[in-house]
Amino acid sequence: MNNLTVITSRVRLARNYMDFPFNLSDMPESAQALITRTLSAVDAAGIRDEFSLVRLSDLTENQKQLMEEERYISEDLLKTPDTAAVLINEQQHLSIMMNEEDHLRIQAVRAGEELQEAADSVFRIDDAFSREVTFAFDRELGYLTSCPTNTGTGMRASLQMHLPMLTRFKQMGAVAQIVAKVGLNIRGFYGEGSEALGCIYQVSNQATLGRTEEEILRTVLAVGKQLAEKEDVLRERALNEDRTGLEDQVFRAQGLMMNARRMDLKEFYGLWSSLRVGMLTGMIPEQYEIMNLLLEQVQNAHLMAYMEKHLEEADLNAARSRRIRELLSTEE
Amino acid sequence: MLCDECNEREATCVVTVMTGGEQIKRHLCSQCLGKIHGAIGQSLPGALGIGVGLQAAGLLSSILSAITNVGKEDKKEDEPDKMCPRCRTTLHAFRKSGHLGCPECYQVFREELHPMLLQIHGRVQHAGRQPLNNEEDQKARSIREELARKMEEAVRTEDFETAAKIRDQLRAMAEEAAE
Repeated sequence: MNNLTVITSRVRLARNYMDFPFNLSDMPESAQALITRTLSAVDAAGIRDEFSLVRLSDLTENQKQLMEEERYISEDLLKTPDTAAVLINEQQHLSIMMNEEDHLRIQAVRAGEELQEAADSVFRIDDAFSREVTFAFDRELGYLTSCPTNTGTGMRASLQMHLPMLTRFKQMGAVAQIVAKVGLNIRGFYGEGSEALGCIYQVSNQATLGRTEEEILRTVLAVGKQLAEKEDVLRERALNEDRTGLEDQVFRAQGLMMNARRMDLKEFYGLWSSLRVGMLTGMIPEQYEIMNLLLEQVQNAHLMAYMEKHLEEADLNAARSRRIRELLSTEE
Repeated sequence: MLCDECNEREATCVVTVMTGGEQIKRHLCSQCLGKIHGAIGQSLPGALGIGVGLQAAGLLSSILSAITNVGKEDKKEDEPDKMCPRCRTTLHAFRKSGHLGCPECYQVFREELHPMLLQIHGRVQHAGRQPLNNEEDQKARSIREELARKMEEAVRTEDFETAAKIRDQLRAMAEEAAE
């Protein structure tokens, strides 16, 4: 079943070399040695050709921001731009961050419910490394990581999910408690603190030690499936209870998305969610791929790259409206 | 500053928690802090004093499950400090930052880490992938190869008793590896 509530799937592995301290941000020479070691490992493993190397110090602020918005690099990596680098495989949306919190963060992001596929592609890279280098590993504790919250498999498997109905019916608190019981965590994907803008959440494993990767993937996928089923039920309920109300919300959102001339991100997320509900309920034509693309394209760095200049807030909001209209007018 | 949880009352304390590998500071009012304490009490017997944010005022908290007490230094003040000989990270520094200095730290602070890992993961024996060229594996592999050679030799010299013993030993090793 194609799980439409899942927007993207992401898997990352944390890996560290045996013979370096974890944090090399104030040891530029060691950080460079780590990059060199990593490059020779991917060379020896025969996978160098699929990646391009990017040193963060070579990028402009906006280029760095773009890479974060594209989810090739983490926010954390941006904190130490002088020592950080990343190997990128655009075709498979695969990246190997170097000198992040851990020496290596190998991660893959895929559209839709493709958690297993994302996992397979990071495992392939892990195996390739594993033949060439010695990772910090302990029989009892597994892969050793800078922070004990990642020890063991070093794996974080996450689903980015759109859960408008569970949110509407105020079920997210209960959901959070239930998923915590199976070692998972759910939180807002966009926004700060307790916000979950656009009703977009991230479901991921909290525990990394004592469970196999398969077990973790299975649990995350099972919870994702259950949440999707719950969404289906609640969507029907919402339609039965107040179809007109829901239609009103969807078409108002459509009106604003297609006609507004300035829009900040917060407003965008709310309307995005309503519009997607319209697609899920068959009120408006399906444009799921464009909806996914929108989430990335309306971010600040993308807008500036698109307009080819630096923009202040009012101009950003104007550019955002323009980009939204443009993308939503394209046929899927 | 308003409380991060209810967004209504003035925050009176700052709580540092670890979640998903990130360190997050939460500004809370005393009522919300109380709720969180209560939630911990129910869901995690013997939980540390800090760590779980559940829903309050119908909002989903960003911090949802359990966690270490890395932000809480005072509790461990009487503990003697230890230092990793390799990277010179001290136990106090680790408790404060939530980050270890190097792989060796896991040996040095093993005793202190154990309850913390149990708290975070609920389990402390690794399951799952292993490095292909893991040193211990290599060692085990060479022992296996040596035993296999001896077994072949024993078969060749018709010392079947020894061959059978070695065969059992190899089987036991294979089972152990499979576990």
